[in-house]
This record gives sequence, C-alpha cells and structure tokens, in this order.
Amino acid sequence: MTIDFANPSEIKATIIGMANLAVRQFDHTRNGEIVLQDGRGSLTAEDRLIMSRISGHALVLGEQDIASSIHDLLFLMTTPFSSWPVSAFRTVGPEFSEVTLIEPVTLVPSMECRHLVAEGGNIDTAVEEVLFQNFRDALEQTARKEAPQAYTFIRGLISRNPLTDEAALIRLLDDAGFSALYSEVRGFYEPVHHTPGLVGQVIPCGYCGSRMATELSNGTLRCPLRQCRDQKPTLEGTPRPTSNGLLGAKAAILTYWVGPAQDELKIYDAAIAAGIPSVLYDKLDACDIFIDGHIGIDVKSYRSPIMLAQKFNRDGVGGLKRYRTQVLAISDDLIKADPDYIKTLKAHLNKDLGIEIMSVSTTIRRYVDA
Amino acid sequence: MRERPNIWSGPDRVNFLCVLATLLDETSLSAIPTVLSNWRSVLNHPSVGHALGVANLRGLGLDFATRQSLRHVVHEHNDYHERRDAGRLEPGEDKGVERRFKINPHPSKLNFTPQWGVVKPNDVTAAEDMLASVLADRLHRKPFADPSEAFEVSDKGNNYHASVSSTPSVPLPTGHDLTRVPRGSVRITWDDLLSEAQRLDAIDAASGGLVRGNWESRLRDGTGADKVELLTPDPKRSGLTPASVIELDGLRHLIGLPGAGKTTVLYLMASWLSHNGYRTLFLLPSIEVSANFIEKLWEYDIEASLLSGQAPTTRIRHMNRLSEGLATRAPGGYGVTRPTSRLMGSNCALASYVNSSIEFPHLTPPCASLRQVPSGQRRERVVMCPLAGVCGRNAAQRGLVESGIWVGHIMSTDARIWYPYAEAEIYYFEYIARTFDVVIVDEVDMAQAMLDQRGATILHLTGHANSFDDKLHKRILGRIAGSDNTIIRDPAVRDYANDAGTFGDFNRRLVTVIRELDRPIRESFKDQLITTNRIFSALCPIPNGASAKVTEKIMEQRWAYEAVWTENAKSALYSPIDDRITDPALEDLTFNEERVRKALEINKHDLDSASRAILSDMRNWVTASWNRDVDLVGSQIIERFANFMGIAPTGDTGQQLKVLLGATFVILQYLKMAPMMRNMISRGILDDTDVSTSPSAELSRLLPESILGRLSGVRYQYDEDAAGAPGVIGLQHVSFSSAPRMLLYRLHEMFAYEGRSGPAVLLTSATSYLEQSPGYHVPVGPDYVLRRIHSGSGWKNSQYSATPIPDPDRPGRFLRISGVPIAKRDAALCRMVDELIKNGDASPVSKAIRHNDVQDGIGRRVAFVVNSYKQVELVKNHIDRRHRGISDRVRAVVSTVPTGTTSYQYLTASQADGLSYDEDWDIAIFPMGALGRGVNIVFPDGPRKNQGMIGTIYFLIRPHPSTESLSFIQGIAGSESLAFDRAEFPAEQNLAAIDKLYMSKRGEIMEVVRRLLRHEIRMGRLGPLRTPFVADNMIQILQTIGRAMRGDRPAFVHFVDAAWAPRSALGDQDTSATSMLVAMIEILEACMTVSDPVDQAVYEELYRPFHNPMSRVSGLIT
Repeated sequence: MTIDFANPSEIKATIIGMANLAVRQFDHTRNGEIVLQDGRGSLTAEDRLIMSRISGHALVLGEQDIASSIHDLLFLMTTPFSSWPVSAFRTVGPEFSEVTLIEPVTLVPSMECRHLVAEGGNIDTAVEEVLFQNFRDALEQTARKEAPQAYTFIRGLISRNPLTDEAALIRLLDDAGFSALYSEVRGFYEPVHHTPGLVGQVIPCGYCGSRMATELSNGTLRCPLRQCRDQKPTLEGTPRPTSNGLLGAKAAILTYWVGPAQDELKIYDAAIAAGIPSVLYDKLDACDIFIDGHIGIDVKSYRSPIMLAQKFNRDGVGGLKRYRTQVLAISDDLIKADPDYIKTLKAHLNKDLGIEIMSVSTTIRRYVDA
Repeated sequence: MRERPNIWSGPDRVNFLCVLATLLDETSLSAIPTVLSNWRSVLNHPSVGHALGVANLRGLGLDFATRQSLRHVVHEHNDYHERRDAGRLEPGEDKGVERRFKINPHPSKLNFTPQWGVVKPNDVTAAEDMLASVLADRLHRKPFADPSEAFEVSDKGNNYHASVSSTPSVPLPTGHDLTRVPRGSVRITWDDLLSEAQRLDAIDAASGGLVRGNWESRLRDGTGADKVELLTPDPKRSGLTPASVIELDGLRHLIGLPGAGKTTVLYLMASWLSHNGYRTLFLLPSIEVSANFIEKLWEYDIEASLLSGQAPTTRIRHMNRLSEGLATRAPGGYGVTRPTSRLMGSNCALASYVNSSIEFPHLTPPCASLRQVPSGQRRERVVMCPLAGVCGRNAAQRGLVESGIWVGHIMSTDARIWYPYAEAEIYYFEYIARTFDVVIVDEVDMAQAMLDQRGATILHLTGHANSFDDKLHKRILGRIAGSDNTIIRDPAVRDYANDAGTFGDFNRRLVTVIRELDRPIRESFKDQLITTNRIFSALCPIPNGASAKVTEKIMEQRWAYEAVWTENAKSALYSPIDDRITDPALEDLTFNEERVRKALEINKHDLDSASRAILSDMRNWVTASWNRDVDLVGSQIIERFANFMGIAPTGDTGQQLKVLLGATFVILQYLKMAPMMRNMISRGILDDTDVSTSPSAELSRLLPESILGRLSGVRYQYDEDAAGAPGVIGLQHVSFSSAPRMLLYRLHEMFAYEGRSGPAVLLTSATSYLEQSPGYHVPVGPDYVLRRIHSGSGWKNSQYSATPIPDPDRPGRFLRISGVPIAKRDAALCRMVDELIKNGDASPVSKAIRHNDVQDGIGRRVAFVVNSYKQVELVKNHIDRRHRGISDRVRAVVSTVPTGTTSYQYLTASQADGLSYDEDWDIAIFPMGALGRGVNIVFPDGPRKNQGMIGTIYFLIRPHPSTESLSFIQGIAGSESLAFDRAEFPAEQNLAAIDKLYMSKRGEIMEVVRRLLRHEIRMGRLGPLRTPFVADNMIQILQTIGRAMRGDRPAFVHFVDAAWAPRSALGDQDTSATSMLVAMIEILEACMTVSDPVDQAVYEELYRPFHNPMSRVSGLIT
C-alpha cells in the first residue's frame, strides 16, 4: 500500500523512525565503528526504509531530497525541525519544531530523541546507559554502604569540573575519601586538544567550565552545552594550559549529566547557601535535588513541553514519588523562550500527577529563599 | 558507442577487413593486425591512414590485434562459406550473403581475392562508405516512466521484484548536450590569475568569515613583488625564460616545483575558466582530493560537480572513504557531514514508493530498468525512473549536466553516462573528448601509473593470504558455516557459495597436481605464464627447420586439440545439471567440427566418439568428490586425450596434460564466478579488490593495444624446503590487455579522425619528469615550469644516512629485510624496531624527536616507512606487545581500522591528514606510497603552521617488489607502448616494413617482460633494467622524503635496511649494482649534468634539494 506522505501521522511515524535511526547509528559508533553507507556497514534495512520515507515526504511536495546521504541526514538531525528544508517536518506539530534529535556540539542523541525512541516502543539500550549502570555497579562493589554519598559526590564533581586534569581529579577524590573509584571516574573523561589557533591552551566556557568548541566556518567559540549556549552573551573563561594532561568530560557525560546539572546546581547551591539541608542526586538519582527533608525536585530541560508531557504520561513521576513534596522544575530559558511552556505541559498531561510544576527560579524563590 | 551498420554479420564480418586492406592497397590481411592495433604512429603514416575506418571497425568489435585471432576468424569465414556452398549450413545459420572474398588461410599469406565481376556489390560499397563515415551515436531509446501509472521494479541480478502504483510528478532531468564543440585554444595570462586572486579575496572579505584564502598573497607579497614565477623554454630551447601567459592548446605539460603554489594556480585557473564559460575537467589524484577541491570552489559560488565512477563497487569505495574522512572529525563520523556528501548518497528515493517487504537494492538501484505498460497499450517496455530529475542519489550526475567545472579522478572518465542523463549510450571520456574545452590532469605521473595498473592485473587465486579462494572461504563459506547462515536465504548467495566450494575444490586439485609433478617438470612451469595455448605448443612442437607447410599444419593441429579440450571443458562445467544427465551422445559438438576434422585428418565418427568420451569423463571429473575418484577419472581423461593426440599418457607429456587439466578448470570456474562478483560486492559479501580493474571495452577500443598484445594465464610459485619439496604453492591469474596510459596522450585529439577538435589538455605534476623512469616520466614538453622565486634553502640542512643496525644475534652482521627469505623478514623488522625505540629517552627515535629541527619548543615527529599494510600491522602489534609504554603514541596507517578501545591509534590512508590535528603521537607507520598525493601531514596552527609534522623518516625496508607486483612491468609496457605510438617512421616505409618493425619491437619487449615475470626482481640481476627500476622507486622515495620538507624544512632520513647499502655496512665499497642508494645518486648526478639546457634547468630545480643531501649521505662507501 502506498504511504500518504502528507499525512501527519505518517510524518510522526517517520520522526520516531528517525530517532531510532539516530540512536542505532550512535550505538554503532560507540563500539568503535564508523557510519558507513555500504552493504555491510552500519545502515540496517530499517534505517534505509526511514531514509526513503524522508525522501518521500520531501518529494511529495516537490522539495529537495535530503535523505540520500546518511551523513547529511545525521547532520540535519543536529538542527531543530523548524529549520529543516522539508516542510512536512517543519509543520507537523509544535512539539517537534524546536527539537533536535542529535545534540549539535556533543553529537549524542538528545533527551528528546531518546524519548521518541521510547515513544516508539523500543527499549533504549544506549551504551551510555550501560556505562552509567556500570558506574552504579562499581559503586555498589567498592563502597556499598557509601554508594549513595559517593554517587552524589561524583556526579557533583563531574558536573562542576567538566574540564580538569589528572592531578586535580586524584586530589578531589582523595580528599573526599573515594580514591578507590578513580578508574571509574577517569573513564568519564578523555584528553582534550588545544583550542584551534591557541597552541597549548584550552578556552573553557565561562558558565560551566567545559572546553568550548570552535565553529570551523567562522572560528567562533561555543559551549557544548545547550544550557550555556542559550545564555547570552557567550562567555569565555580563563584559558587553561594543556600541558598538565588536561581532561574533558566525554560527550555523553556532558549531554546527560553536566548540561542538566547547570540548573540542578543552581537550586542546590542556593539551598546550601541558605543553610537548608540538601542532597544532590539523592538515593542514587531518585531525584535531582532533595531539600529540606521532604522536597524532591527534578529539573527537566526538554525543548518541547508536549514531549515532556508524553514522557510523564508514559513513565509517571519515577523516583519523585518517594518524596512528600514533589517538584518538577523547568529551565528558565525554556520558559523565557516559550512563556506558555508550563501551561502547554499541563494541558498535555493525561492526569494530574500531583506534582508542582514551576520554573527553576520559582523553585528557588518558593523553597529556598522563602 | 556508435550505431552498428547492418552490412555483414557473423563469419562475413571478416569482409570488412578485406575492404580495409583493399583501401590500403593491400592484397593480404597479414599486416591488418598491426593496423587494427590502433597505433597513431602507424595510422598517421602516409602509407597507411584510414584511422576513421580502423576506429569504426574496432567499434564493431573487429579489433583483431593478433595474427592468431585473425586466423581464427578467417577460418570461421572459410568454413562457413564452404558449408554454405555445399548446402550444409544448419537451419537459420545462413546470413544470406554470397562470398565476397576468397581468403587464403595460410598464416604467412592471408591473401584475398574479390569474388565479384565488374559490378561491385552494394554491400561492399556500403562497407567502403562506412569505413569513411562518422558513425552516429547509439541512442538508448528508454523513455521515463509515466509517474501517474503503475510500473514494475525488478533487478534480475538481485532477485528483487516489486511494484509501484504511482509517484509524484516531478521535473525530469536535463540531459548532457552532446552537440557542444570545444571553443579552441585558451590563453590565460598571469594577470588574469592575479585578478582572479583579488576577486576571491574580495569575496572572502565580504563574507566576514575568519577562514580566508589570502589568494593574492600566495602569488605576490605586500610590496607587489611576485612570489611565484612562470617559466617556459625559450624558442631556441637554450633554457627557461619568464612567461606571462599559459597557452592551453593541444597537449601541454606544466611542472610545478615543490612549494611553487601549483594548487593555488589550479584553483585560480578553475575560477577564471568558470568565470569565462569554459567547460573544464580537473582530474586529481583521488576522489577525496577532488571533494576538497570542489568544496573550495563552492565557497566562491563556482559551480563544480564531482565526476566519480557509478559502478556499485566504485561508489561504495568512494562513499567509504568519505565516511572514513568524516570519522576523523567526530567519533565514527556521527552527526557530521561535508558539503560534497550530498554527491555521494546511497539511498534511493524510489524505495519509499514500492510495495514490497523485500529489502530494496539501494546499492544497485533500478534507475533505468523499470518496466511499464503505457496507457492504452498492451506491450510492456523498459523505462527510466520518473524521480531521476530530483532524487538525492543521482545528485552528482545531475550536477555534471549543470556544472561548467567537473572534478574527478582519471579512472572516473571510464564510466558510462547514466541513462537518464544522456539520450545516447556514451562514456564520459568520449563526451569529454568531444565537448570539453580544457582538461587539466594534476599529479599526472601518478595518474599515468594508475592507468598502467589497469592494463595488467594479477589476481591471487589460492595459496596467499587474502587470495580469492581465501576470501571466499572467510566471507562466504566460513560465514555460512559459522556466524550467519541467513545469507543463503538469498538464492544468488546460495549459488555463489556452491560455486565458491567448487572453486576451492579445483584449486586444491591443481595444487595437488603441482605438488606431485616430477621436480624438473614442476620447476619448468614454475613462475611461467601457463596458458592452454602454451601447453599445446609444448605438446605439439614444431621441429627445427620445419617447412612453412609443416608449420602451418602443426599450428592448425594445436588449434584443433585446444578447441576440443577447451570447448568440452566448458560444456562439462557450464551446462546445467539437466543437460548433464542426458546422454552426451545426443548433444551437439560445441567446436568447429569440420575444421578440427580437417586439421587432425580424422573422420566424423572417430572425432564424435573421442570428443563425447572426453566430455563424459570431464563431467565425471567435475562432479567427483572422493580424491580417489578425482585421480581415477583424471588419469582416464589424460589417457584418453593423450591417445586422441597420439602422445604418451605418461612421462612429460602426461604431466603436462595433468597441469592442463587442473589449470583449465580453475580458470573456467573463476570466469564463471566473475560476472556475479559485483552482485556479491553490492551485498557487502566481497570487496572490490576482487574485481578486475581493466579498462572498459569502449575505452580499450579507442586506445591502442599494449605493445605486449593480449596475454593471460595462470602462474604458480613456491619456495622449496631443505628436502626440495615445494612449500606453500601460490596460484595467480595474470593478464595483460591494453595500454590505458594512452588516454592521457590521446584525449586532446581522440576523435581527430572524425574531424572533431578536442579539449586542450594540461598535464601537471612535480614528479612527472625523470626520463629514466618508465612508470612516472611524462615525455611531453615541459612547456611551463612554475617556480617559487625565493624558494628557501631548508633542504641544505637535510641529513641522509645509511644506518644499518647490527644484528644482535649475529655479530658482525646487520639487520636486513630485502633479499632475505620471506620467513626471516618479519623477525628482522621487529628487531629493527626494537633497536630504534628501546632505552626510552636514549633511543634513536626519542633523540630524533628531541633534537631534529626543534623550533619554539615544538619538535617534529618520526615516520617508519615499510612496504605493505601487513608490515604496518606487524610493526604496530610488535610495539604494542613489547613496548607498551609508547604504543598509545604510535599511529598506524592500515587498510581497515580495527574496532576496540585502541582504534584511535589506527587510520586509513584517506584519514591520514587527520594526523595533522592529532597531537598525541610520536611515530607514524605507513607503507611507502600509501599516503595519497595531496594528503599533507603538517602543523595546522601555531608558530610552525604548514611545516611538515614529520621530520625524521626511517626507511625500514628497501623497496623490493616481489614477483606478485607488476608495477615495474606495467611501467615498461606503458612507456614502450607510448613510445611506439609516438614514433615516426620514415615516409618511404610501406605497411609491410612497419608491420615487421612492430613485430620485432613487440618480440623484444615481450622477451624483457617474460624474463621479469619469471624471476623476483633483484637489483643485482636486472642489468640494463636497473636504472629504470631504481628511477621508478626513486620517485616514490623522494615523494616520501618530500613530506618532511614541507614548509621549507630539512628532512632527516635514515636508510635502515642493510640492503640499502649492503657492502658499506660491512666496510666495503658499494656500487650501483649492489646499492640502490648508489644507483639513486647516479641517476641524480645524471640529471644534474644532462646536456639539454631546458632539461638541465628543470632537473636542477626538481632534484637539487635531494641530490645535495643524497650526495653526502653518511654511512655509504663508494
């Protein structure tokens, strides 16, 4: 039967297929393979079918066929659907318009991409998930009793130090009494190269401290984290020399830990400053910030409130249900960009989840400053 | 491709040759093979001519370039007409044309007489007209499918069938304009290039981007003084003189000296040519370099498109290299792309409209093989894809229609223009030769060597790592038996697997035969090119002093025996199983029975019964599975055939027949499998190294034959153990076919005989001028030399040394690799590496990094240069095992990057420029010649920006092409073919004299080649061939050293293998016969002292930076 390429449900099905393709190709490359287009390469029959469907959506409206090359397609996935040259994807629905399936600088599947994979009924077995699980296992083995504290400490350490060096890392772990976990923590980092044009030095982001990436076309620097790129102006930190064996957090760690941590740390630091007892990543990540003995807070930074609603509709509130007061905090920048974000989110929730939904700054005002 | 006039067919086609010979005032066909060989020197000679007629005949497939092939068709013709005259033709066999010529089949005569009276028959007149006419292009006549109607998609090879009910109505593609004619000569002044540079700089400035070309500053400094000068030989050829114009007309040669900015000039020429509306093709060393070139042009809105081969294997290779390149920008290449990716997509848009659950053949899409019944009609017709005007997969082909500038690789010209983009069946080289204004071939010496490679190929059949047999086992049989038997769901794979099994079986049978031969016989065949013709020549020798008549008789007998043997073997192997179980007596003989009977003086009954018995035995042999049966039936075949020939089935003749039996079926089985290979490649089961890389028949017909003629056969090789028994027996298929390098020298006038003008062709390179080198020398001009005015003298500080390493196991001896038994080479290589890197900071490598040309605290890296990828892997694995401390700072250039956590330590040749951006390495290991031209490993930024990152080079192995390498022979065949093509014979010579000269030259070169094929190439044994051999190698060695001289830096070169200067290592004197270094110095000396002032000036510029340090190489005693 011929596919009706103009039908929105077919377009959505293609987007879910694309998300699966993005994750499949990502997993393939994490195994040391490269994205290839030949018969024995990384492209499965399913991937090719999705690529052809994208061509179908383009050609039905006489638009450019942009899906013949997997490389072009994966690159396109690093841009939001609202800027795609295929109108089907630009206009299919507001929940997709600002979504990028692949994070543009760290080049790992975005949170939204993983959500879409789950939405399509597929279990996400990304290497990074396995990596985190290995970390939790290592914690269990090396510091059984102290596992939750160790987890809290190490995630905090990495989130605050996306750029560090061997000596500093050892010192920080020693000081906290977790030196036994060095090799696991070191595994989250990799050596970094100097900033192009600045031999021997790396320019970190003035907000988060990550190594800034260079835009090859014009030489401008940008932070790998979406959260920092949303800040204006771009802020360059003090250059750091590469001579001490400088290490940077790996791309997936930046995307899934360091990025979201920017808001999490804001709340946590404010609470600590206010003298309120607080724990980051309580009970091995049951919630992002646990404050004042009863409040569990999760911070979310999905571009699309509709997609976030779908996630809650599907998964429920997860670990938050352990806490008496449950708060879902949304990045301020998202609300600034879309003042109706929370309204849209609530409108798309199937039922009242019994949690409070507010911006990060409101969270701080209400539960910390108050 | 041209239309084929319907004048004569089948055996009557030989009439065309008689007509041609008549036009040449000849009464015999004996010199026709020389004429049909398509030499310009022959066809331009006043006593010959008729190049148009020859081209038309070759286009019809009448390219009989050997006497043997000509005799064969004459026999066919005579036999046909004899049977026709006697009323014995088979039903439907009669072509309806009377005998036009009576031809004497005697090989030394071949004279013919017309068989008509006063009135010349119309068909003969038509043939005469045809030989003097330009034939029209053949049209493919395939329409585009009606998108509103249903059509069928099928691909027979892939067993794919599906239907499409409709597709969107989108614009159809525009086809190439075949009527365009070249605009004639082109003059580009130096000022034009400067203006172009300023224009590009202005575009950069306006764009506000940080990445700037700084084009003008590449040509002249801030004060307006030129940095680069263009020189040309003065009219009296007394030296080089400044020039202000590049005149593109006919065939020109520009030598761009290192650092002169040749690439800059090429970009500016591209910009100027595009701006002025010239259609131009740039042929660059690889598709990767072409992609870089195109992307640079696109930055300035210059329309350019990629010319690359579209065969699935070629396309996959290019796509993979692109992907590998992207993998240097992001892990696995995930999420990144480059502008030219869109020209190399692999997904077909049509797949989204098919109704089928079978996997769509994206790698072999059915663009021109759809089937549709037009509305209101009943008959189905083959149609083209209605999406061809917009689909992403064919973006490159469409781009070529629209772009004025084409960029690609020389081999990409030998591809058919894809049906949807031209109404005629035409190849790119023909389209270019007829319609383009300019063709620029960069790194032409490399292009020439690559073309030569296509003229002669070696395929390892068995007994060699990565032989065809080995690959079939690993990739098909092993896969099915082990990890994945799902692939046999595909019937094509199942058939191929069965064939692979049979092929392996036949290989084992032949290897067993060779192993069991008596030593003298085994040795006599060893390293020889074994052909059936050669064995029958040995079995039916012509006695010394035999008369012409006896000679002819024996030659005819040889032909007859060979026909009976080969044709029955083909029937035994190729007939479907259903036929095999029928009674062989009921089958027709597949050879020319009458001719065989006449040659062997045998009656019909005896021939029939002998032949059928042989066929029956051969079928039993093919299907036998037990060794005992194979031996038994094999002996029976040999006995029967020996009886048929009247020779002894035992002794030498019996053993020769055994070799014949084994070799025949290996070759036939290989030929049976060859057509399916591309299909297996498109499924990812085999790779394209298994596919013959010969030029297309279309190209071969337009070029002259190889001076060697056509030659193919099998060859076996082995080393004997101490007891004289053969070790591993390697079996190879060797073939020589054409002289493809001639494409470079013919393109500008390819269709001159049709009255068409051609493009101006400019050949450029830095290493295309070394007269002694058969492989790389380009004997044209030079017409222009591009030189940097203040080129620097960094080379003066270069230091070369012969630094053999004492063998720790044998005091007083030195580690040597070239010239020692293969089994000992690996160990010596590993010892060498140990000695170079052990002892940490005190090691030679560590010292080299710390002391050689360090600036601003930045040292340069080290290269270990070896001979093969296998040796790269050996050295890397050895370092990983024995020198773990440094293994993560070693980078290895390999053919396939292994997966795993250390994959970052490996890269393919197409990723090699990524080393420039990798700070974490000290040693790079690569095979000489693996890194492509145009791939630079330089500091990307900082105070040493654009200087060679590699400063010290250790040549661990002296080049020693083994017998499996044909490159030297290919170079000799190519250069001799070119020399003959460009020769000028005295005007008074007639065709017979030219023919004699040709045959004599051919015999001479053939003798050289046979000698080279027989023995491993060794310096000491080469005699007069030593200089050309060393010169060919020297080009590669100097290219490699040149990598360390980028940015006007000195190179520190160590010749480590004791074989570089074996006597010097022992304190004795070396000569050019013992040391390649001495031979190189002699060649460089000769260049420096050559008498021709222009050559002298060119050589001085090209080779002084190497001659100077080479002439004071330390450690060499002369």
